[in-house]
Order: sequence, then structure tokens, then C-alpha cells
Amino acid sequence: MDSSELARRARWAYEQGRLVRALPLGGYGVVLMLCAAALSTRTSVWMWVLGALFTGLLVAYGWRGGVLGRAVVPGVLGGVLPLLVPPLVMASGHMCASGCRAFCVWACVGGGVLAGVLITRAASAVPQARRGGFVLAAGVLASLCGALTCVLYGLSGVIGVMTGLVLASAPVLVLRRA
Amino acid sequence: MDSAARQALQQGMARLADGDRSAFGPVFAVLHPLVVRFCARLLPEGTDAEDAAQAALLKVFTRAADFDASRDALPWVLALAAYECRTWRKARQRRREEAPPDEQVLDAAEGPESRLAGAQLVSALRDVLGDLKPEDAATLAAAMGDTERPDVPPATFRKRLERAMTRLRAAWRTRHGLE
Repeated sequence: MDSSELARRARWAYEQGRLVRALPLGGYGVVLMLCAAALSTRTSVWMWVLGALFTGLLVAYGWRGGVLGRAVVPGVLGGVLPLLVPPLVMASGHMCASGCRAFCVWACVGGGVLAGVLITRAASAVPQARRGGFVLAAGVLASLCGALTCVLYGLSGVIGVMTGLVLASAPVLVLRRA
Repeated sequence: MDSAARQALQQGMARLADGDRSAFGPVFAVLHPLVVRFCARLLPEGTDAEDAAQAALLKVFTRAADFDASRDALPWVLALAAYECRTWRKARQRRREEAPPDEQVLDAAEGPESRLAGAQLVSALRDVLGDLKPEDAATLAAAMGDTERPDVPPATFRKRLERAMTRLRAAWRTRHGLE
């Protein structure tokens, strides 16, 4: 086998090795999807769609590595916070009927803010030049994770999580540019 | 390998582990000749050394994502290469055990000095074989093709051979003082 062919095969082996190593990260996605289904009073198709996207991104981030790989754990941990909001709201006895839906959406915003705080704290360990990318990557994961349950309140619930994340992480992005 | 090259390898492997694809080219350029030379020393027979080196390189890059940057890269790479060489050596040994004696190829390049040294070695070996238990001597004789192989599964025969070789080495050391 000549050197260029060997290099091509070695590169392929490297990418395969990275992908195999990243596959277990999809387990986080599956577990969180099942948790979301268990904690929700009802599930929607959108929950499974978002869950599949979340799981796929986890594996993709792990395979790609670098800033994306480092964003996995903070993104997942941050996403668990808004994910727990709807079940906690319902456990407190509050029913999110059409009249007081706003409270539930604001609760999702609050969950998003907490996720954003966690992610920005984790970003302090990342080199300055890559901090914006890290916050964005982790924020996408946390949004998808939180949306697994906040999607119960419709698109507004999902937007609520993302709004909270943006509010909490915007200072990092603004200071980076300053 | 000088310390600058070793440092460059260390940094390259750390970047590869982190997912920096731009490190692949430089790391491959350093590792390819290094692993080929290393395997050639462990496996003097040409084609086996090349095959083992290729397998070792593929193994190194498959496991590159697992590399721990706090460890030294060079021993990590050479350990993987040594393991591949050992695997190839065992596979070659198994092929020789399973092939009939008349299919084993004689080395036509052997000169009179080599043949004399070989004869002396065989004589020394037969002396040591006398020190072994009859079962071990019988196993080794069967492996060398001097007698018929016992009617046991190949895995059983390999295990007996492994034990007999261990005792042979110990007996050799006792009689001749070296391996």
C-alpha cells in the first residue's frame, strides 16, 4: 500500500474512531427523551422530533470535538434545568390552562436563564477567542433539551427557553466583542 | 527522535485527540517512518514488518481520540505498534504450526557459517530437551515435526506448547545461563 493510500485509510480510521467514541453520548439524549416522556402528562410528536435532533447533535458534537465537544456536558447539564420546569410546575399543583399559560412560559424563560448562567460559568474555562462559539453550541443543546418538556406549552415554551438562555449568555458575547 | 520532534509529536497528538483535523498531516508524516522502522526491528522478515506497521498506524489513528495529552505520546504509539507486532508474530507462529513440515521454505541465502551455528544450536537444544519432562519433550518434538502431533484440538496443543516453551526457556537458562 503506498503512502497516500495509507494516509487516506488512516484518516478514515481516525474519523471512525471519533464517531464510535461519540456514539455513547447519544445515550444522554435517549435517556433525557425518556425522562421527558415520563415526566410529562402527555407527549407530542414534536417532543420526539426535538429529542431526535438533540441526540443527533450530541453525537455530532462529540465526533467533531474541539469547542463543540467541550460544549456537550455544560449544554446537557444546562438543558436539564429548563427540562425540569414544567414537571415541577405541575407537581406544585399549577395547571397551565389557557388563562395562566403566561406563568408557565415565564417559568421556561426562568429555566433558560439558569441554563444560560451555568453555560456562561463553564465558558470561563474556554479560551477567549472560542468563547462565543462555545456558548452558542452549548446554548443550542440546552435549548433543545429544555424544549423536550417546554414544548408542551407550544412554540412559546420553546422560545421562552431560548430567550432565557440568550438573556443570560448575552453578556459573555457582548464582552467578547468589547 | 530529538526532543523538538518529540515535543511536536506530543502537541500534534494532543490536537488530534481534541479534534483538530489540521494536525493529521504533520502527525502522519512523523509517525509513518517511525512506526515502519520500529516494526522492522521487531519483525525482521520484510512483508510481516510492513503489514504490522500499516496495522499499527491504523490502530494509532483509530485510538487517537482516546489519547490522554498528559501522557507521553511516543511510548503510547510504540506500545500500540509493539502489540501489533506481537499479534503478527503469533499469527505467523500459528501458520507454521498448522503447515506440514515439507511446505516450510528453506532460506537459500544461508551460508556455511550460519549452517554450522544452526547445527550447534540444535545440538544445544537437544541437550536441554533431555532435561525436560517427557510430555514437554514430546510436545516440542511434535511442534518441530520430528514426531506426529497428538490427536488433540489445536488450542490444546498450543497451550501445551506454550507451557513446554516456558519450561524450555527456564531449562536453557539453567544450563547455558542466557536466553
